[in-house]
Amino acid sequence: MERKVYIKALSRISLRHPDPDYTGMFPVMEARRMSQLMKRALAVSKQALALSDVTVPDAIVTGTGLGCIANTEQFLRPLLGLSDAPLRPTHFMQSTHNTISSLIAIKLGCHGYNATYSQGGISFESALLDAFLQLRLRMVDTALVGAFEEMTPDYAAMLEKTGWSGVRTDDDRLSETAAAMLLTASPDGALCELADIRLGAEAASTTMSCPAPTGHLTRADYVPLYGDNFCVSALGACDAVERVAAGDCDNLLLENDFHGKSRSSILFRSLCGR
Amino acid sequence: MKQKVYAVAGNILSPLGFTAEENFRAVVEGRSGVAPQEGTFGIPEPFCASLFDRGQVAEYAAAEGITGYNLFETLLILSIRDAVRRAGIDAASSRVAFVISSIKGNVEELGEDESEVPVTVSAGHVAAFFGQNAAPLVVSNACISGLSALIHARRMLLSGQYDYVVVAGAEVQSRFIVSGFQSLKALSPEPCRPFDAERCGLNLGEAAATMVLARAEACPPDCWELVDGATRNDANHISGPSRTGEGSYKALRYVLACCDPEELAFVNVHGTSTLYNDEMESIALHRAGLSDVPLNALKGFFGHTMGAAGILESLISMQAADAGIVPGTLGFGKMGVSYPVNVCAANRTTDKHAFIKLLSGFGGCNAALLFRKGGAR
Repeated sequence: MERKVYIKALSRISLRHPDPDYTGMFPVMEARRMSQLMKRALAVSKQALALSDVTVPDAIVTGTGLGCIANTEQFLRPLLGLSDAPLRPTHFMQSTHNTISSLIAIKLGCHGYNATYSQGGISFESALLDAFLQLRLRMVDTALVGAFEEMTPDYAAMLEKTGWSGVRTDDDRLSETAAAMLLTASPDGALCELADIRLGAEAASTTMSCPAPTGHLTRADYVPLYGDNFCVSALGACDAVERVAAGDCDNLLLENDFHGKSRSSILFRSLCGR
Repeated sequence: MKQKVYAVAGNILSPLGFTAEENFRAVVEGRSGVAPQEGTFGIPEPFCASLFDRGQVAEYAAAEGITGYNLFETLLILSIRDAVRRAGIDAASSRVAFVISSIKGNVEELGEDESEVPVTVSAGHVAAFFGQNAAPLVVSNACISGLSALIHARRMLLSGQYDYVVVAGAEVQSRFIVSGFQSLKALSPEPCRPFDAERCGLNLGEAAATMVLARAEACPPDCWELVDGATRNDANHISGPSRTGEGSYKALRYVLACCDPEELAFVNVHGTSTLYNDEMESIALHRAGLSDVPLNALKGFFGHTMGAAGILESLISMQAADAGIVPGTLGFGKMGVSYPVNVCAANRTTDKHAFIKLLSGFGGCNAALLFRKGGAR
């Protein structure tokens, strides 16, 4: 029998949720090798775990559109003759998309399932779907789902040139995301139920398990707050969870229509009155 | 009743051939695609790699009427098209899902045409070629990507949402990847020698490989079942494997719950021919009680094909077990790992109908997938 899935805790860093003080958070030598995104990823992961009284999750699932793009660019620049800096193995090692997810595993001592989804604007939802299915199918009891995105000047310039429409206005400014959620199979102390996730063509279909949600959030709601990047829907999801947890609505549908390129829908259900 | 997931068709596109059969024949005959490279990609230091003849691929693609795609996309389209034709499925159906596995995608184009960079963009072009409306799932999980993709596809099928999943992996080599591994001192200047005492690093390889998976209450007797798979993390080091083989051992232990080691024709290991990887795998296999089971590695034939490796090496292993062969480990001569493992230097015969495919990668990720022939048990 399939189980229900709950969101126990969340933590994020965004335009509206400032970085914590990283002083002393990591050993000095390690901190030197860590990019800002890695520090943020570890900080929100640890906080989400601390808030949910889970020490080591059964699974770590991560979504990221570009991975460690800053490290990738740093390694690529000398190769393209754009810099005289030597090729640093650290930049190469940390250029794979699963770098962040792996680093979280190392820091938590988590030997369980570890996967990374690079699915453009629905990278976070792809990771969330993986964790959701594994919890429902009883393969794991807890999962840490993260969404981590950084933006570099070069990549931003490229996006403005070739990519997304409307990123030049202040409301749609390019930004970064670090968000973590702890999913469990137990409703005890949970913020809300994660009722359903649909990706792609299914996102718009009537197969969603709730035909008439009482709450609704779309990119038009959260992009003006948090700017735009491949993982910004994770920040929208954090807002959705908080609204449902506060009893604003019985259920809430979060819709992500990412520049007409990809779509997702997530349904959150309130635990109030259970 | 619990459903089974099995492979209905496959394709391998590598410098050794453009079908799964051609590639298997090359392995049986001991032919390798790995060749010395000088000045390739503008890299001054010589290295060895298994690389496509660009002209030959372009010719083949043009003959098949496939133009206007970059090399990465072309390889995927050619590989998927062959596998889908053999499977006889309607690839455009909404009951069919696409999963694409790659580590670096078009990384070299970061300096050229940046709009082409994300693998998702290329994956979208490929899926659109086959008339798919849905965006394919992209799996990029370092060197275990191919097995991660198969394991995930298996779950997608078990969820009942799809009737078929097309799993394709591809890797195109570039200055970025070669220079990266050179900076780590992980590339061998000579053809690689998995598990050998004289091994001194890996060779990179290019390939695309596709497996079409289906679901039924029983695996047909002429198909291979993906019995179960697991990914486990070392949680030890960002690029180096665990000294205790922790993640690999845990992944092996998980799939061994579904089989008796006696049942295994062989374990097809990662076997990159780096000092640390092969040593780590010997520890993991020893801990899992698999020291006596024949093991082989295919990197000597194909090099490390990264995002394609899990799918490619599984397809070779299926054909080998079907032919009653445990393929030899090209490049292996003298045992060079501390734990006793049963490395097949040359082709051996087998009458067994199951094998385990093993991979490990950056970030301390490890994956094991158990395959069993339909009706073998």
